[in-house]
Amino acid sequence: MTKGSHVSIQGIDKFYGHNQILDDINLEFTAGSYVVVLGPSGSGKTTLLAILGGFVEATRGSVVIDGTDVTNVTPSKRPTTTVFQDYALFPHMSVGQNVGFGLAMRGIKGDERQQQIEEALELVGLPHVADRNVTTLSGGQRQRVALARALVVKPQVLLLDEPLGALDLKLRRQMQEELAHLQHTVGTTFIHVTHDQEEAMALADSIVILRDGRVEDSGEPERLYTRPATEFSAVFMGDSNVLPAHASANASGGCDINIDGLAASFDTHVKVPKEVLVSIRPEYLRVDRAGEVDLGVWRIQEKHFLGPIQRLVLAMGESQLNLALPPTHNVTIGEDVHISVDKNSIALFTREGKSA
Amino acid sequence: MRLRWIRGLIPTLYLVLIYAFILLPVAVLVLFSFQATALPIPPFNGPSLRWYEELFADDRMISALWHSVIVGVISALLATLVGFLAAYALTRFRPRGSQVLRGLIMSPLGVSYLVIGFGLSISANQLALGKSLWMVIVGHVVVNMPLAFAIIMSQIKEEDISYEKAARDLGAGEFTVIFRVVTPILAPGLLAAFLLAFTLSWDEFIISLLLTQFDVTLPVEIWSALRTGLNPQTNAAGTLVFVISVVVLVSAYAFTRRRKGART
Repeated sequence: MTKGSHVSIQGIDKFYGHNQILDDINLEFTAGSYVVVLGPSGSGKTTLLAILGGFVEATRGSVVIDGTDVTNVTPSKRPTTTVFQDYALFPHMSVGQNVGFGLAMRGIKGDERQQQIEEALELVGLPHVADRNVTTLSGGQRQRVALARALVVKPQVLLLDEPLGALDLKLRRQMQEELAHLQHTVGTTFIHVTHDQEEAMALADSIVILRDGRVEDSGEPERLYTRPATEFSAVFMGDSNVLPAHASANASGGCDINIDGLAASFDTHVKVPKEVLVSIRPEYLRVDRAGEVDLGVWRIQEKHFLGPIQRLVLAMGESQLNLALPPTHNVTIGEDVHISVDKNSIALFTREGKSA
Repeated sequence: MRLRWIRGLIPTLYLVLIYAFILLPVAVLVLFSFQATALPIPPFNGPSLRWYEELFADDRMISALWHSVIVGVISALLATLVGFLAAYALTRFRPRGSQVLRGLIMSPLGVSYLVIGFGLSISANQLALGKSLWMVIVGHVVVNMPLAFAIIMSQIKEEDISYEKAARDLGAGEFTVIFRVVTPILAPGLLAAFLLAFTLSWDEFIISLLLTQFDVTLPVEIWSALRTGLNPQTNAAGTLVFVISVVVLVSAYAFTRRRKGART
């Protein structure tokens, strides 16, 4: 249908009174990509989306879409449309009238409008509902109508504000796949706000993690998951074992890490010996000696069967580790196992949680 | 045992008395409008529609009735329109000092009709406008607009702002937002405000009396009929005023209920 646009967010600050909601946000989104802005509530993600849509004015900074500064352009004139959290389908209009609203505003009439409405509804998998009343639709169907209504006017950028938040888990996972597919089909740049990291990873070409109005980390989901920039993003992007450790420079320009008496060498350079945090994903831990870093012998304290994986809680002295194993791996509670991990599965942070 | 029985009786008796106190005068008025004889006093002879026939044959009464309808419809339309615009502006745009503005809009409610009617009558004289049904319409807008404003304000929901955002997002200008989104969504509240403003205008006497001369409204006509003596035809006119008020008020109530129900 349309080609997506490049979105550039330049030095955006937002204050409500003395309350700073967004602090110097600078982001570049590639044309036609699926971007997910991820953050806990209060991180400023919805405000950022409202600034992109033109509903909220930034205190400073600008929004540039395909080289055009749209900072002072009203929502009705922006090349963006929004799928609202509560869908905001007009209750006094039929499905077709809802989808056709934007077309009517653009002066598209009669058969042409009707045809585009049908096409948009077909695109979201809801053909033949144009005459229905929106109040008779299910949550999932409303979601699709909201998508059709926003996409039918061929925006350059589609903004989605927690679009799946109101759906139950199963429907949410299904809609995720459809959203990804839809974005692929239409090629519009999607900017999607959520607090659900699974949703983010399932959908995004690129993820931005916001925390307290600042960009904590941004990049491809895989990089964010395997090599998080900060402890916050490590923990926010899924389970992680965070252990205190001591780091000191070694002869080869890297550093030696000492976790509870267990030593490992890293390529990361540290200037002076310091206390650090070591973060390891539960599924990267190995129940053998084959990993590059030997973590010693741990006792299995708990075992939980979770379907695709089993989760183990391991203990050594005061320390605990979470470990995820395929359920085919036979272990028993109370058993002592040897644990190791590969170096590139370990992320190092300063004690403040910043990249070490 | 007996004591408890009496104790149960007291609240019931109290309720009966209260309702009798409120409704008995109306009931008597309505009952004697069906009187077959010439005086609306006991004993009741009837029922008969004789006085209703005479009422509808009375040109003065019928023209007063039409005047009331016209004044009611026009003043209620204006009160609803102005009240809606004020309520929408104050809730959506929250201008500086909106609390003060709100107080000013509501202030006519605290002023007696006598003062408002008297004031308008003097102003009309000063401006050489004279007394007319148009001045009554002005007076009724003044007293009913605050009520329309309050009703509509209570019906504007904070969360409905997302419909307006969605409309703007899809390219609608402010007029389109108001006419195609805000007004239809608020329709039950607007209708309720209109109906209430209509009944209040329909019943209103003092302002109408002070601002009319030759063409009068129904309550004023009834009042002058009462001055010439008791007559079941006046009862019939009063009953008509009462019945129309009740019908309109019940519909107003039903519309506000519908608006609330639609959201749950």
